Amino acid sequence: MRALAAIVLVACSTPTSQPPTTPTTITNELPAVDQLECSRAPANGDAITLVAVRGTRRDICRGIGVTAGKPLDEALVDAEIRTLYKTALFEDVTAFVEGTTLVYELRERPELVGIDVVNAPAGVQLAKPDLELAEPVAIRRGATELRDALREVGYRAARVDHALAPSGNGVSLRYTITAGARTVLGTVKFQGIDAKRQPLLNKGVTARSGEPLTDLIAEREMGNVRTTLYEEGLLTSRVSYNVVDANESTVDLVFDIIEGPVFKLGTMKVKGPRARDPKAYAKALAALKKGELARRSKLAAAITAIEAIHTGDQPAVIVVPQSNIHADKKVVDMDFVIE
Amino acid sequence: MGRLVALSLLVVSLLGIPTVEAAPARRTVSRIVAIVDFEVITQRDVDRRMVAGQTRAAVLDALVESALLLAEAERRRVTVERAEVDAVLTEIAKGNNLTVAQVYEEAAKAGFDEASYRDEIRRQMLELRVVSMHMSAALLGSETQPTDGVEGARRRLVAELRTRSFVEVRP
Repeated sequence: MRALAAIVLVACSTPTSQPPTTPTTITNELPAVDQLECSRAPANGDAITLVAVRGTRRDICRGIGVTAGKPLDEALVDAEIRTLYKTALFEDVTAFVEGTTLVYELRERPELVGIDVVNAPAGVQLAKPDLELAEPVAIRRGATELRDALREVGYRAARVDHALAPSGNGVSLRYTITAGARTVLGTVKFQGIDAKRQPLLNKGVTARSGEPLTDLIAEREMGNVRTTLYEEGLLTSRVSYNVVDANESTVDLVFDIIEGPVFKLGTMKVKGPRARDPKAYAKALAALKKGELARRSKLAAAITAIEAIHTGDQPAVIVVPQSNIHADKKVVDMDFVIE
Repeated sequence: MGRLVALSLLVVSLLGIPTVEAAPARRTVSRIVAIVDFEVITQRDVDRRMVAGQTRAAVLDALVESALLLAEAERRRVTVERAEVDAVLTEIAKGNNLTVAQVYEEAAKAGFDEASYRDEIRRQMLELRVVSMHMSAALLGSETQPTDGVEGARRRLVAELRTRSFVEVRP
């Protein structure tokens, strides 16, 4: 039983991550009392005689499934602790028994009475994160949103700290920004590429020197570089990038490229249960000639032409290109699967 | 002074004044012991995982790691189908010269009913998949290949996820 034992011992139990549910049915406030009684039953052996809630004035009894009159179901109580926490209304939940009384002891999350964002760079408008409760994940997400917004306008090293302070009946939240220098794109460089391809790659890049460089733009440019390489038949090329400081306010975008071989077209077939007679696709595939460079634009045009043949088909068809790469022969066979 | 207190207690007792009954003992059923983003790890989770020789801190740490990996699996939309769990169960049975029913019997001895044992397998498969995905991505992005295998990849991914997530362990 070694495999079985291992799989049992290694196993860890935590449910999959779900964001907190928005509380809808448990927000009614009740008069201040030490304890809310959710259900009560006559004494009957070990059965729970009272289910109570402490530490809140919210009417949460309707959300509690454990009822008096039944023996304690610890698994159900455990599940309710999770449910109560996921309402985001409580920062702590403990369940305990005293005799035959089951008590849910809650600590309410403080209300956010104010949010401040300080030290934003001049001229940069930042939207305050939209939060109602001092919930830690939401607070962190707010900081990430602010940091991303700053990166988007070129403050790549921006840092956003947060702090909570008591205020009135709740707490106030302050996000403090350390923006750093605003960085713009200097030069786009390519490493590991045949020099003759440099002009083509430059042509494919759309970001311009002096513009703010964001992660999104860098990712977009990596896509442009890949497209250019595929157009040259470099189907197995690998591209990555680094953002390198050129000076205090300028960064260079450096692409590292592993070209791989140039591929030529091999066989081309249209397949799938909804494919028509092969002759129907002759015109659509006419531009793809065996032995020619496997250019992305020509393959894309063939897909469009095949889709046009199926215009009006119900349900609508999808043309899925499947490439079968023969690295040794530097040939790619293309199947266009009609789905 | 001690004699005086004893005397006054005796007087109270003789006068028939009822003494305060001891409150029933309070026993915690479960409580939150850790939070990983929106997920809660409870005392009961830890209790159920305790195995002889392990410390509570080690069990809790393993649960936190698992929660981080499962959240990442969900973020990456990694799934495990029912048939895949069936296949792993069949493999486990085959590897141990047992039937699947006998595997469930063995699992029951370790405190798992059929559903929870299947769930454990599914969780472990999700964790393994998300670690494998991370390994593949790391290999593509690096010229130096890590040599510490799945365990090393898991450690690195968990360390990365800890920096990206809200993790609070409560005393």
